[in-house]
Amino acid sequence: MSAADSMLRIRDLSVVYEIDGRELFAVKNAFIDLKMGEGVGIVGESGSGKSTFARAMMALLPATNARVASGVMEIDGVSYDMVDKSGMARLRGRTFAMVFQDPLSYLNPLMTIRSQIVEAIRLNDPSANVDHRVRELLDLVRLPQRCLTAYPHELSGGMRQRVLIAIALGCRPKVLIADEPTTALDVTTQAEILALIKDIKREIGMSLVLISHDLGVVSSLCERVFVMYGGYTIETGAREKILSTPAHPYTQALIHTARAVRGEDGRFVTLSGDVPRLVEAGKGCPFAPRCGVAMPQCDTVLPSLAHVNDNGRHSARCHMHS
Amino acid sequence: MAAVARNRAISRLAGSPTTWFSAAFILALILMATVGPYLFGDVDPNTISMSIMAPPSAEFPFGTDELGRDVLQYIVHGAQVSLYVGFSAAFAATILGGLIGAVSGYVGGRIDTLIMRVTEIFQSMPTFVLAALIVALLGPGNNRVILVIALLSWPQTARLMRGEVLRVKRLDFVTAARCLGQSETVILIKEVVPNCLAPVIALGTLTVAQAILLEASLSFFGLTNPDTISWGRILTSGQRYIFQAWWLSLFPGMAIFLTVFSFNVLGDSLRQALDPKS
Repeated sequence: MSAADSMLRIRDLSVVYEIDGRELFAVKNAFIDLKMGEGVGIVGESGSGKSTFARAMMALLPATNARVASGVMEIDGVSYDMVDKSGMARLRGRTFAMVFQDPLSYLNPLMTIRSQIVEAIRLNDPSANVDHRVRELLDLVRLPQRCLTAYPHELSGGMRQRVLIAIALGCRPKVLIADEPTTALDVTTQAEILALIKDIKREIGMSLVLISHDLGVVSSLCERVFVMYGGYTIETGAREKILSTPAHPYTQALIHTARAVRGEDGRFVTLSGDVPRLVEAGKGCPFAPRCGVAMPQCDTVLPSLAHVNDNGRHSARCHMHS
Repeated sequence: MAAVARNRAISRLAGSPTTWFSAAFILALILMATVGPYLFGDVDPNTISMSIMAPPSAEFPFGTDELGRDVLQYIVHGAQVSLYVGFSAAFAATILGGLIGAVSGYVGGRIDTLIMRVTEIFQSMPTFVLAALIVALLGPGNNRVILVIALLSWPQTARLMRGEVLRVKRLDFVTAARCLGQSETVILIKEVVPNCLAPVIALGTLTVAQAILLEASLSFFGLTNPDTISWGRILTSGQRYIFQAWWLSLFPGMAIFLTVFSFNVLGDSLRQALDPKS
């Protein structure tokens, strides 16, 4: 991959939270790369560090106790380190925008839908033909004009999520980061919103980072998938490879549970145990305590990311492959 | 929150007869202070008549004082001063306190700590003694009284505003605005402050009552301009004749009591009606 068509490139990112004077790693050696117009998914259960990763991408970590400990981050060829605070604010919106999980709490309750969309448009382009752009955005997210005068609480969950998407698109971002965009919605609305994001991505050629705990959601929108566990990126590869031949035991378990595979006893295969708490993180593989095929070295040595196959595009962080 | 919530807020206000009484009384008071003097034929309230210390009658419903002046005229004109001082002082205190509190809560850190220590110093001082002292030093005058009351009342508004800002600034839509690249100043003005105003407005109403009471107290002790008519001043002259002419104390006292009571009730109802959690 040449540097020219790389939209987002993050290498070896570590994020620590400082709690009671102790430093806890929420994200460790995470990485991602995203090409123009491409969709990638980040999959992991709650506590896997995916939301912290997303916040780090937006440079919006909670300032009080979180910081980036190490790593290289570049967006559209610009390194995060080279940009000051106001430069970062300019990058947000114009270069990357974000869609969130709970659409109601991310809308200002005292402003009409129209003024919130207009605000996003003006921020990016003060001289824009606002009426025209608002109509364009509404058409893009398939919302009727009458929604404009409404307040957020007067809309349904699906409509609110469409509004959030319209606001995010109002800045004409090159990268859209969607953090669990459909989790708060019911299943039919979920499908509609996913189809909408897919259409928009194709229509305006935008890159997409989709964060979800649901492999199905991710695989419907993304060409490549990054699986996260305990703060590490543990597997990455093309969607088809991850779904058909998952290399890491965690990914395998994730797919089994998602497909409701029945085990020998006729019961659904589930993943026992809990996601490691930040405090408990040891030296070895974070998944070792729950892993069915763990070896002695898994508890002591952290496996490195190794190529599995697919011309080096499919890699996993597991001793079975190193 | 907008239209529907506003209607809900109004209908909640409508529930209590005390609230309606208070609102009606304040409205009547404002009307009396603005157009009252014209309705009563714009007489100089200082006009002296031959009926000295006359009890309430058809001609003088609230009686007359030791110089034969109509107490009703005094109360009508006194309402102007009380409301002017009350509203202006509360307005100034709310604006000042709101600004300081918003900045303190939003910026945080050392500035926040510093501002909060200052408000504590203000709040730990005995309000009335300080007001009396300042007025005694600076000399009387409505605007000075307003200034003194505003200076003594802003800290509680500032603390309330700070608390609200601390709550609202952590809400998700503020993060969303930041994600769009909105600058911090604009976020504070457009996203945070409007969502903090409801309790601050309610407190503003209570501040009006406090300011009116403080002005009346200062007048009662003769610390305001002797040329301006105010409720407190009528009370002062009334106490000398309390056994001969009860109406000199009762009617201005009732005026102060009902006004302060109404503002307090209204402020409390507003706070409840605007609070989404109640």
